[in-house]
Amino acid sequence: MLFNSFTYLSFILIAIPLFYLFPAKLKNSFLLICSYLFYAYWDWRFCSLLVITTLTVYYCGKFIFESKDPKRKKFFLYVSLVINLGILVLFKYYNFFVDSFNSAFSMFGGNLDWLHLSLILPIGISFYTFQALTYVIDIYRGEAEPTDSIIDVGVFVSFFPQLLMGPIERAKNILPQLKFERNFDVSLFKEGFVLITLGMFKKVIIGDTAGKVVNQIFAEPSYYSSIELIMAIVLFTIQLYADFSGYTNIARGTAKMFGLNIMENFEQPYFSQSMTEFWRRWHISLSTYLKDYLYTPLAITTRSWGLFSVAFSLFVTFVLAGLWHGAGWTFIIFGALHGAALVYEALSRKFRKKLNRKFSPALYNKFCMLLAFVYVMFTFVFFRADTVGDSFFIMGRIFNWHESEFYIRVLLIIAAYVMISFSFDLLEIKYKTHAFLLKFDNAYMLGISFAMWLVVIPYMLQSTPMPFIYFQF
Amino acid sequence: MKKIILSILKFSVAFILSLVVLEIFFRLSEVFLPSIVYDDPKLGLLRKPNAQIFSMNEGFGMGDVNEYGYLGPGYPKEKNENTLRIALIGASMVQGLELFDRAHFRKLLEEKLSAVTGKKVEVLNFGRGGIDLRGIYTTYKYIASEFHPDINLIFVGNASFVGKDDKPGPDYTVVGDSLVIDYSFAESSQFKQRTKFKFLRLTSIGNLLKRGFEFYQLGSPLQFILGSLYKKPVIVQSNTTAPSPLDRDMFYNINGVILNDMGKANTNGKISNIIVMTDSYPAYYNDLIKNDSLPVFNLEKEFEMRKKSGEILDYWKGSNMQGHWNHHGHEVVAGFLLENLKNIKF
Repeated sequence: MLFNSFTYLSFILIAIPLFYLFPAKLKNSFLLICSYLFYAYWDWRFCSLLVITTLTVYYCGKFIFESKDPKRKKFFLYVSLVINLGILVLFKYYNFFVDSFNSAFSMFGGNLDWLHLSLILPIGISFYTFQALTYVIDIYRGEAEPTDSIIDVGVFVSFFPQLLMGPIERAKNILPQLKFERNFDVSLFKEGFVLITLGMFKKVIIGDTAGKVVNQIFAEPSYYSSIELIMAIVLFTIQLYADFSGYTNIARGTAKMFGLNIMENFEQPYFSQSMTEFWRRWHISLSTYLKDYLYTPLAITTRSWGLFSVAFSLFVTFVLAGLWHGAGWTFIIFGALHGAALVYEALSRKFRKKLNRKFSPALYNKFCMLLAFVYVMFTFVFFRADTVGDSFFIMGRIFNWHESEFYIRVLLIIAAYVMISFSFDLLEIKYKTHAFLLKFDNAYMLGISFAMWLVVIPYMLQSTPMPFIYFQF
Repeated sequence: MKKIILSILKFSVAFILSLVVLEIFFRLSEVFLPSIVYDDPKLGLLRKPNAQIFSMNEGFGMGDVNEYGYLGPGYPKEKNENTLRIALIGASMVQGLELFDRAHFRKLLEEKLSAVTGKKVEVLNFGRGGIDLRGIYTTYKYIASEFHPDINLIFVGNASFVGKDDKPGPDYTVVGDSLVIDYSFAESSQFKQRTKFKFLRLTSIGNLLKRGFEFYQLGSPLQFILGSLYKKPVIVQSNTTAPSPLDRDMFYNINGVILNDMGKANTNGKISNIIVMTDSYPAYYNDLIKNDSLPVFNLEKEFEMRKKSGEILDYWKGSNMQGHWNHHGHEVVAGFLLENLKNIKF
């Protein structure tokens, strides 16, 4: 069920009143049923994966907590990791590794096609697997205690607003909230409405419209001129942000309507002045997850290597982050490019500080912001292109300029998207909240919201809902 | 009371200002533009001269309607004597909004033919989406003819013969052996409603609302709510199924006279009208199509042959949709027309 569909809007319009009609004890069970219905709408068979994940983390967490023997604790941690990551690897990466191995093997005349499995990638598997594992890892580290209720763990693993694309929550944030009785709260409901409105507008009007152009140009880049390829790259940069932050707004807004708070995932990332800052503001739930559960353990393990430890840990973390996005070389290169930039920034901190002192800080910061934005766009070419070859073709055509008959129109299109996208960010910064409409008078807030829905609904009627980009991950 | 009025005022101001900002965004980004057509009381739906086109359905195309109201570069009505002028007349396949003019077979044919003949060649695109043979005839007779083409390439397929065009426009009746044009559409309730609400189409938001409403009418609320759980597809595609026997006879008579009239223009061995058959046509039209006076270029055969050898001509990778000719399809059409036109004495 896509958020940007009438099906989803109808679903929450029915589920929210029912939720508040249920007695406090049954509220979480109701949420669990809703979440499974939501997932089953796509494919009911994969609900079994949610059950397996829930059962393994629930029981492993319990056994880890109850066990006094460190070896036994470790054993149950590994059991949970092997089962959940095993499912993830099987569905998401198995064919990639087999195909890559097969293409290398075929150079020697071998054929391992029979190893290829026709598997459907369960949507959201990377998100809910990572999220579920925080439950056992936090218990193992002694940072959280297990809950007695398997229903609560079930809701934590499968809570529908964030099941498919995050934010990747931590058990210690969600589980305590599930213990409270949640009564209808007008202010939370209002905040939820505003977040859903803004999220739908971002996704449908900014993300999807940009995406239609982007899809066409990236599908057949050879038919387009250099400026049109640049437009596709800028529009994809905006699409990805509008799509994902729009999703997060809808997810957070829906969760608020059910009385739950889930974490922020974006803080105006395109205003970052370095790639390090970018990852502090982009997909925050993933970057903090990687920091907590991958980078830090790696850096601790290799701390005797000195400065090289930081570089190694950063690079490996980001290559794996790239691979997390998708099983393909384009994603590995994307991750490696980000890793390389972060390694450079970590190693050149002193040099950059000196450089900063030589220029006017305002000018220097703006230049750094522009540089970071351009670098992000450059890496997104690999993220979006179908093949590595296509990525290089696009770069090549931009550097080997091809004329267009639509320079002014294309530049205006780019400017329009950049302005509307950045205006959301500027308002978020000014009012220090993603639900910035709440800071306005109620009448103004409703007027703006109505205008947004007035364009969102007809667009949804005339267009097949476009899946969110991160669904595939 | 004062508070309520003030709130209503604030709401209205915020609402209207937001719509203005959105209108500006839509116009600049071109994602939704005002309608590119207007209702002419004589010729029905026509394109607005100088309108911007930004299409992103199956494919992605940017372009303009030229100052004369057709697609591609604007060649004036008067033709230079040494210029070979070709008019492309047909429905959406000819219109080709799915791609840029530079990739359209119009442009490719113009360049190729110019190189082969050594003459200045002008190819004019009069394609109009959704028209059948009656609309094609109107275009041929009352629009394209004003530009004095040496050759009219008339693209027809199955949909051209079954009377699928239900938009307000001139109709024809057969009286004896000739056609009588009927302008009564201008008195129809549909035309009057369109005229009454034409202001909606003058803005991007209005045009978006109008299109949203049209799509809503095609489905049902339950379809939109249940999505993929509903049995029927959300949007019903335009109907190109066979007409009723009564309509079939009527269209057959009208189409027969239209084809005959087009054939009459090819006199004294000079060919000026050519049928380009894009896909299969109803079998009972065999005797009308295989008419000595009207040459037929069988594009369908060419496409079938190429599709058999694995060429993809009507699939759009970017939207994962099948329908109109894709980039490669246009290259094939241009090459096919060039080969066939070489044999025609201009």
